[in-house]
Amino acid sequence: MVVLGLWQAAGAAGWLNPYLLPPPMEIFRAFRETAAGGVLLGHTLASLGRVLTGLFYACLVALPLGVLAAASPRIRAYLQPLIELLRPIPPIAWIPLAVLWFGVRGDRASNFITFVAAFFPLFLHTFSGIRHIEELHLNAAKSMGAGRRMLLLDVALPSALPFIITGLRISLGFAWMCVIAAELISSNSGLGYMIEINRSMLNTAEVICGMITIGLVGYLMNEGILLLERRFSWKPLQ
Amino acid sequence: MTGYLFSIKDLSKSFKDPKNGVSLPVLSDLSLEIKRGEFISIIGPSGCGKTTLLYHMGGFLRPDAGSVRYKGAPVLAPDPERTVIFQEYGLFPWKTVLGNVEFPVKARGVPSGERRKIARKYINMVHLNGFENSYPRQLSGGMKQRAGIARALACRPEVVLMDEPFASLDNITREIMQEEILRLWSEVGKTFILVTHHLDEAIFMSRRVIVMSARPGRVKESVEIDLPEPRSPEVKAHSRFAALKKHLTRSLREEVEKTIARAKDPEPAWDPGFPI
Repeated sequence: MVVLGLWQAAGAAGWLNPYLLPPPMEIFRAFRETAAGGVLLGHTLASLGRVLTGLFYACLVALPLGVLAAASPRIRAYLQPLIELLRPIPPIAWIPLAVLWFGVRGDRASNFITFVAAFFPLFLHTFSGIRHIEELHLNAAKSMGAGRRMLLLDVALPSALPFIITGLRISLGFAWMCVIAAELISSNSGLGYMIEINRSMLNTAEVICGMITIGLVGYLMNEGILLLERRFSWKPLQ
Repeated sequence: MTGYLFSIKDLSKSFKDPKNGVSLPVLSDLSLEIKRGEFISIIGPSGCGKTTLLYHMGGFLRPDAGSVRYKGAPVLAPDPERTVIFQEYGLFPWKTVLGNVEFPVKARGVPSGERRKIARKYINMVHLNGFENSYPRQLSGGMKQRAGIARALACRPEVVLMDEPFASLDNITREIMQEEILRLWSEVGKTFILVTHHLDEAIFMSRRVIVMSARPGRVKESVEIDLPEPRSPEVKAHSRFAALKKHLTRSLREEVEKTIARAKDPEPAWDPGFPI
């Protein structure tokens, strides 16, 4: 509060260049205006939609692939070098290629970026979750006559669930950061687009307002999954 | 074929140290026959291969040489007919007591409504009713073990293989669970095989005690326990109990001393991945 007060006072006294750092009241005004017209909500939902779409496809690909890689040494031998080669490439570095493949218009380029961002944490956590199953549980399940289906659905996946949910949380946070970056470059909606377009018009208050929204949404998503983690985790969290 | 439930002949098993390839013989030419309906304990110094023997009967390990036959056919894989209660019970922490006990029932394809009824029957049998919806981490050691036993019985086993099932219980709970298991044994009329290093426990519970030699393990002797039936804690005060205990203590002591003497020689120390 003190900092905000000093900041506001400094702005009013004319010590701050409003184009570089507008005072808090100015940012608050930007919030009210963008929120009132539904503009802010629209951009937020656009970004969220891309993140969830990318995450959805990442789940579709990374979960089965992670299970397969953990279960079969052959598949692991094929996949591991490929994954380890692709993983160091930041999702943002895929943006130029995504633009070439999917164009600047529409959601597909951004969806692709969030998919890339979400894939690796999810894959790696699923993989190590399944690899961490206790021998004791596997032996117990086998001695009770469990077939492959039960070994997967009643033993392997629930045993790995705490890992998978952690993977989901990391994926979601990472995809959220990357979608903003993708929208800065190749989109006509979303929070990334909103701060970029306002930057070009020197609406610095709107830029900061967009940044705060990004932070808030990211925070809420993280809290949401932490809730999920507590609800579905059989392992007490440390 | 033979009338024995288990017939183990000249069983040998070694484990190879993955680092230097040195192989350590754990069982050597072990032969043992077990009749249907027996309650039999296997005792021996630590590292003598008790658990290894049990894992062969369970179907988790394959012999290097010799054979393990169950109902006349070689044991090739785990089977619910030969269920195992592991040291830490192996309960699934992500399932409730009910879910755990339902597991083997589900595995043999019983539809879900009926599954629940069957599971409840076994939960009642071990006096765990009221805890159907608890998770294993919410249960005490004794209750966890009851859940493990209910789950094992839900397999409708012919044989129950128990690997030090009382190891993590306090003394009182341990005694209660021993009597509980004896009660279940006489109720269900199945074969129970117990691996333990507790002499009192072995004598009190079994009709026969197998003493294993120091590693590499083989059967040193098989002692019939001719104590009055049904067993109650009073038999521990019986003079025959004391005589059997004296005999078995001497027999076991010899083997433990061999193990200790050998431990003074440098030997490959490594972990085969489970207790041997």
